[in-house]
Amino acid sequence: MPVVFSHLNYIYSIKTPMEFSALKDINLQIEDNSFTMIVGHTGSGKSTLVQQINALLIPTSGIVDVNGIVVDCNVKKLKNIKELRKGVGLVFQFPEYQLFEETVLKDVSFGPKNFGVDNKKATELAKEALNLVGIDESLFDKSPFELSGGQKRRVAIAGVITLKPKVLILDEPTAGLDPQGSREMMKLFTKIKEQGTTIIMITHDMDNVIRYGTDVVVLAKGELIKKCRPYELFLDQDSFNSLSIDEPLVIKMAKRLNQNGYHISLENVIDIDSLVQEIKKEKRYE
Amino acid sequence: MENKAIEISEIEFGYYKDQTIFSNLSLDVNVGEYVCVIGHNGSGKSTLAKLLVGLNEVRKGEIKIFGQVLNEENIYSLRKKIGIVFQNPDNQFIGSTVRDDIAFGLENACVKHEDMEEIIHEYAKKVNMEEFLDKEPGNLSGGQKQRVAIAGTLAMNPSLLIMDESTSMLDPKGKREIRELTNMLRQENKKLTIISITHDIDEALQADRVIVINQGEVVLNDKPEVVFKNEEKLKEVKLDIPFSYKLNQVLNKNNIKVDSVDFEGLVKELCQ
Repeated sequence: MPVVFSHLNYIYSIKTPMEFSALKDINLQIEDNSFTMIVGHTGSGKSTLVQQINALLIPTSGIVDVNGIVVDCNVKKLKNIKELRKGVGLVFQFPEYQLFEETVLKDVSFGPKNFGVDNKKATELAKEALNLVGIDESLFDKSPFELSGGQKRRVAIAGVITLKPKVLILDEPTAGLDPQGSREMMKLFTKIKEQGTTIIMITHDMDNVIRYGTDVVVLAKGELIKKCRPYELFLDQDSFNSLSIDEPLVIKMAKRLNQNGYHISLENVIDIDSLVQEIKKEKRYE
Repeated sequence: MENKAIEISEIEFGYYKDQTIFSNLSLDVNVGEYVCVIGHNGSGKSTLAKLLVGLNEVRKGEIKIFGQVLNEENIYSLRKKIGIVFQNPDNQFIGSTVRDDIAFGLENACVKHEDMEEIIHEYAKKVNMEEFLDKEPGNLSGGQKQRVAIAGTLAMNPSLLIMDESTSMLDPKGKREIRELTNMLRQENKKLTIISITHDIDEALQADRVIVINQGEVVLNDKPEVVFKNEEKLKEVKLDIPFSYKLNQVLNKNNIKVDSVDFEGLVKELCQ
């Protein structure tokens, strides 16, 4: 389901000396079933932005509309908050720190139980989610604290997707994982997206942005700078330099080759294999 | 003058009885060498770091640090020569300001207050954090926090610096800052030995030597340009190879013959 921000402002500690304007007049539509990447410097407002989507933070002014459920500053006690949060799963950074139960299965079924699902059904949903994230049945009765870092993170993510959220928000889900673990994690999100979920992911990894993203949103100092297709971000050298966004090496290579007479279409370059396919199209290799 | 900083010979280790992380591990690091240790999560990299600073004891074999066998008696005197920087920038900020944080180790070592101020300035300057001395950790970026952690470590004047995934929680800019700092430290002090446990392949490319660990065993141990050419072995232990090495391979597989394994070299060959 689409998420629409309109004239949204968010100010931390309003009317105190610590007042800090974290989001300024955000107008943005995140498309249904997109894989939207949110990028920007530390402190640019990325985490503040995504926390508006499930009403962990309530806008100071303006609105956010999640599939018809509108959150604005007038909402004191949100009636549909449960409904909203059922539909929007949020995975914080280093979610493994939030594991707490005695066993993996209990930890993952905590969420649905909390939403009033009965024990049996909750266990069923938990098993299904654990299966999807690739946690073997032999680990279900283990303490989550005995698992490896990568496994813990999978369990934590399983806990969020038990109720099959329509929007899944991920805050730097691959930070601290080894390359293989990181790739498997991205594959998992692609799989979840294919089941119809909208994925919103905060990341610093530009390789993942061009490889998996359908859209990218750039924030700087609380303002929306750009929303575009990932490759479009790198068309204008000056603009991404000033945002201090790292250019993926495949894009950098494609541009260097183009400067030297190649005709590579950046839109098609998402990884090394696609770059080589583009290179092969050149006359000199025919 | 001892020329080995670390000599690990035939060690065996596990955290509890039935666990074996290392069954027979041996490796050496020379004084002044910059070694990157890579391996996937759970390969035993961080365990190695803990053994080197004596946080855990080996079951069999021995670890020599600057020629001395690590044991209960000399651990405290040896630790004075070793600095370690951990992964999470938020877990290792001790002071309430940058100044206090750098001072923490010095205070423990009973350095005179008059000298302390000078040392703090010197190292804050070295890591380019001098103007932040009175700032609180909450107002710093991850890369800045790690630089402060490094300054606090360096202020103790270690001969061996161990970095245990010190950049893995940082954004690309933070990673770059720490890479540049590491390079600068090496230029300044040729005797400083650095062991960096890392996932950052770009960092490993700069090292004198790369050691690949898998399931507690050394599988590759050579110059980066040799290690990263061994794609098969790296794939086997689930590790990535740097961009330019990979591009070289994929091009050759697609019958576009290239020799270079560096970015500029590839551009040149492709544009001939």
